[in-house]
Amino acid sequence: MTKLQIKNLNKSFDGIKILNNVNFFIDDGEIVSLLGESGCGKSTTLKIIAGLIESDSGDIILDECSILSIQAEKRKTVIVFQNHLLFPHLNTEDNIGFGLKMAGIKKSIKKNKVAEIISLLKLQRLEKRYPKELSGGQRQRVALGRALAIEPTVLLLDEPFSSLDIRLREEMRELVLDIQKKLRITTILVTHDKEEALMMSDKIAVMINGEIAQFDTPENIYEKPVSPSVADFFGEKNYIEGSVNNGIFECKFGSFQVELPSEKNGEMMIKPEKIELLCETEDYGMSNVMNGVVKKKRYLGDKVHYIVEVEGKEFKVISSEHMNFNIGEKVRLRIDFSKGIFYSMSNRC
Amino acid sequence: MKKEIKPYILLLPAAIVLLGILTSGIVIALSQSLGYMPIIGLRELTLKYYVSIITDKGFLESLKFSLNISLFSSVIAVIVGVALAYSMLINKHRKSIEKILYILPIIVPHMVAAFLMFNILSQSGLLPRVLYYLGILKAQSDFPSLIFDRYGVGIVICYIWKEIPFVAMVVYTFISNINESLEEVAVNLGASRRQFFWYVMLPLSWPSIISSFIIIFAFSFGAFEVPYLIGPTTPKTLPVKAFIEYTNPDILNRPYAMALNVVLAFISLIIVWIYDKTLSLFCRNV
Amino acid sequence: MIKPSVCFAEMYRIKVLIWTRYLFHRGVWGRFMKKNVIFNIVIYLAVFLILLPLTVLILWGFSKRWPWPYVLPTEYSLRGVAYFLTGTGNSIKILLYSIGLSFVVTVITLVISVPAARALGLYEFKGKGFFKLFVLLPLIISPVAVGIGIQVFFIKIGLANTFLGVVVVHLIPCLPYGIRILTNVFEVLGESMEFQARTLGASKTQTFFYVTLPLISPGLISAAGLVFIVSFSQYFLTFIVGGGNVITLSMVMFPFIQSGDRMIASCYSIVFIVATLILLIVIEKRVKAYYTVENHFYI
Repeated sequence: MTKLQIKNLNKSFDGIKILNNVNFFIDDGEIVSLLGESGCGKSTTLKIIAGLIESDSGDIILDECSILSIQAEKRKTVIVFQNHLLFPHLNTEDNIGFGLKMAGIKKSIKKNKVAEIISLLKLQRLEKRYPKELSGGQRQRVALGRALAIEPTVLLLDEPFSSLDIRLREEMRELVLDIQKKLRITTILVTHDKEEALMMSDKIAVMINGEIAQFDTPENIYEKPVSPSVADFFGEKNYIEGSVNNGIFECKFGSFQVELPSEKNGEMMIKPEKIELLCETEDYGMSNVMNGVVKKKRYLGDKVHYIVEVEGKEFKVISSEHMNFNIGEKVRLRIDFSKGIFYSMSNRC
Repeated sequence: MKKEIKPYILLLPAAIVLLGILTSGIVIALSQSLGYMPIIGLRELTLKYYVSIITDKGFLESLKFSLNISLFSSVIAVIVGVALAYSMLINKHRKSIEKILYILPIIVPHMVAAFLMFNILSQSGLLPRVLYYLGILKAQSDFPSLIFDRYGVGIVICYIWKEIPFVAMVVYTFISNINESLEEVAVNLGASRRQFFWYVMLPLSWPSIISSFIIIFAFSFGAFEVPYLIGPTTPKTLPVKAFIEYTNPDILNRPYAMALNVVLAFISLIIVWIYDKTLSLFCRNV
Repeated sequence: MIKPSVCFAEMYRIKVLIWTRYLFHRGVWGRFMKKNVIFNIVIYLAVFLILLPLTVLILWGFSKRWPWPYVLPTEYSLRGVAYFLTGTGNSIKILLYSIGLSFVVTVITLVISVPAARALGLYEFKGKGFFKLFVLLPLIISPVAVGIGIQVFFIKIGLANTFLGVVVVHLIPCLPYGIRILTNVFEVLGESMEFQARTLGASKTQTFFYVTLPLISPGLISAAGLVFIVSFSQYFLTFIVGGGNVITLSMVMFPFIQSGDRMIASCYSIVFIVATLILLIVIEKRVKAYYTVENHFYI
C-alpha cells in the first residue's frame, strides 16, 4: 500500500530549476533512497516534504490525502540532518524529548518514551550529557532518537552518516536498518553514496539534474540502468561504440552475438567486473577474446582495478581473481557481450 | 619558556594602564577615606567616616534611590530590547532600519539624552503641549512633573531610551549568529514559533542578555550626568551625592567624600562578582 | 488670519488621528495577516520613538520663540548657528580639538587592545579568566568613584589639567570596549590563517600586516567607532581630570544644557551628533574601500 507519494514536484531558486517534475512513491514500512550528487536537489525535496520549503507546483500525498496545506510543525515528517543540529543548551534526555514536549505530552509518558528510545539506541549513561560532551557517533544517535521519539509518519534522513568515519558509518547503517525494520517506519534516505543506497533500500530513486532518472529496486537499477548517467552512478563503466543488427553487435573489435533489438548507432555498456582477464599465453580459441596491455593497476585488497588498453581504447576492469598482472604486461580480455546493455545515441543523458 | 610568557607580555600594556591607574585611584581614595591625609595633618587611621555613612539616613535613601532607578530601567530595557532584537531578526531584510535603531541613541551622549527628555517630558515639554492640544490636558500644571521628581521618572525614561537600542544591538548580534537551521529543526519536530522562541532561542541568548543587563545596570547605578541634570534635589543618587561631597569647600569633609566613593566602588565590585557567578551558571553548555 | 504654526499643528493633529484609526483597523485585521505584521509595528514604533526626540532637538536648535502651548515653534532664527560658527566660544576650534583628542585616544586604545585581545583570544594561560573579568571592571565601576581618586593621584604626579592626563584617563572606559570586541574577533579567527602564512614563508611581521590585520579589520572598524564615541561623549572624566584646562565639546555643552538656553544647547547637541555620525561613516567607508569586508558589531 502506498504510504507517501511525491507527485510532479517543481522548484526553482533564483531562476535556476532545482526540481523538475520529481515523481516517486514509498510503500508503507519501506525505505527508499534518494540517490544523487551533492547539490542536485535531494535535500530540497526532503525539506519540501517536511513543509519547511514550499514547492512551486506539485503535490505530496500521505495516506491518500494531500498534506500541502498542513503546516510544517504539524506534519510529523521528521528530518534527521547531516550535521545533527542538536540543541546545544539541552542534554541528551531533553533533546530526545523535545518533540514530545512541544506536543504537550504528559511528563510521565514522555519519560517512558525517552527511556525507551535511549535503550533502543544504546545511549545509556549519556542521558545527562550535553552535545558538546558527546562524540560524533553519539550525537548522531541522539539526533536519530530525537526524531524517533515523536513516532513520525515518515522518517527523512538527510545524509546522516556522511560526517562519520567508516566504522561508525557501517555501525549506524546497521542500526538504522534494524530499527527501521523493527518499527516499520516509512523512510526516505538521502545519500550520495552508492553503496549505502544499494545496501539499505527497498527502492532507489536516482536523481540527476533535478529529475528522477530511474526509480526501481537496487537490483534492477544496478543490472539494468536506464541510461549511461544512471549507470555511471554506480561506478565507472566501459562504453563501446557500435550498432546492433539482427542479434549481432558490430564494433571495431569485431562482431559478437547478443540478444538485443536492432539499433543503428549507440554504445554498448559493459561493467568492469564482468570483464575476465586471462593470461596472454593460453590459447582459448574463442571469438570474444581481445588482446590488450595493462596500463594502470590499483590494488584494493579484495579487488584489483586495472586499466587495459585494447587497440587504442582503455577498458576499466575490476578483478577479484588473484591473478596478478603487472603494468605493461600483455593480457587477454574476455567479454560477454550478451550481458551488456545497449544505449542508442539519443538515450545518452 | 618564551612561549609561556608570551600572553603575559601581550597583556602587559593593557594591564599597566588599567591596573596602574585604577588601583592608584582606589588606593588614594581608600587611604584618604581612612583619614590619612598628611597634607592637612591627619595621620591617624580611623573608620569613623565609614560609620557616619552607614548611620546616615540620607545615605540609605540615596542608595535605595540609585538601586531602584537602575533596577527598574534595566529590567524594562532588557525585556523591550530582547523583543526588539527578535523583531529585527524576523525582519532581517530591513537593513537600513537596523542602523538607525542601533546607532543613533548610542551616539547621543547621556547629557544630550537628558536634555532630550527634558524637552519632551518637562511641564513645558512637547508631551504636555500635544496633550493640551488634543484637549486632554487643561492647564500646564495638570501635567505631572516627571523631571526633578522624587521618583526619578525622567531619569528612568532617559536610561530606557538609551539602553533599549544598546540591548537590542548586543542581543541581535548574538542571536543572528545562532545557526538558522536550529529553527528548521525545532519546527520539524513540532514546535510553533512561540515555542521555538521560549524553548530554544531564549535559552540560547541568555549569555548576551545577562551580559547586557549587568552592563546597563552597573552603568546606570554609577552614572553621574543624567541624575545631576534632571534628578531631584532629594534624594540624590549615590554618585551625585559622592560628587557633591567631594566639591564641598571644607577640606575636612574630604575623607567623608572619599569614604562615599570607596563604598560606591565596593558596591560596583559586588555587581561584577554577581555578574561572574550568574554568567558561569547559565553558560556552561552553550 | 491663520498663523502658519497653528496650521501645522492642525495637520499634526489630523495625522495623529488618522494614524490611530489605521492602527485600530490593522489590529482587527491583524489576525488574518502574517505574524510579521506585529513585529513590523514594534520596529516602526521604536524608530518613531527614537526619531521624535531628535526632531524636537532640531526644532529647538532653530527656534527663536517657542512658548507654551504651541506644538511647533512660533518664530525661527539662526542665532544658535551663528553663535556656533562665529561666536566668542571658539566653538569650531573646540570641536576640532575634541575630535583630535578622541582620535588620539582611539589610536592608543587600539594599539594596546590588539595584543591584549590576541592574548585573550588565542592563548590559554593561568589567570585568563581573571583578566577577562578584570577588563570589564572599568565598565562597571562608577566613573565618579574612579575619577575622584584618579584626580587626586594625577595631581600628585602632575598629570592633572593636562591633555595627556585626559587622554590617559579616557583609556579607562575605552579599553574594555576595544579589548572585548577584538578578543571576540580573535577567538572567531583562530590561528590557522597565520599558520598557513608562516608555512608559505611569511615572517612574523609580514604575517601580521598582510594576513592578520586585513582579517581583523572589520572588528577594528567596529572597535574604533565605538571607542571614538565613548571618548568623544565623555564628560565627567574629562571635567574632573582636565579641570578648566582641557576643554572638549562635551565640557562646553554641559553648562548650556544645565542653564536651559535651549536654542544654543540644541545647536551644540546637533553639531555633536552630526559630527560623530560623519566621522563614523567616513571611517567605515575608508577602511571598507581598502579591504572589502562586511561590518559586524562583535560585542
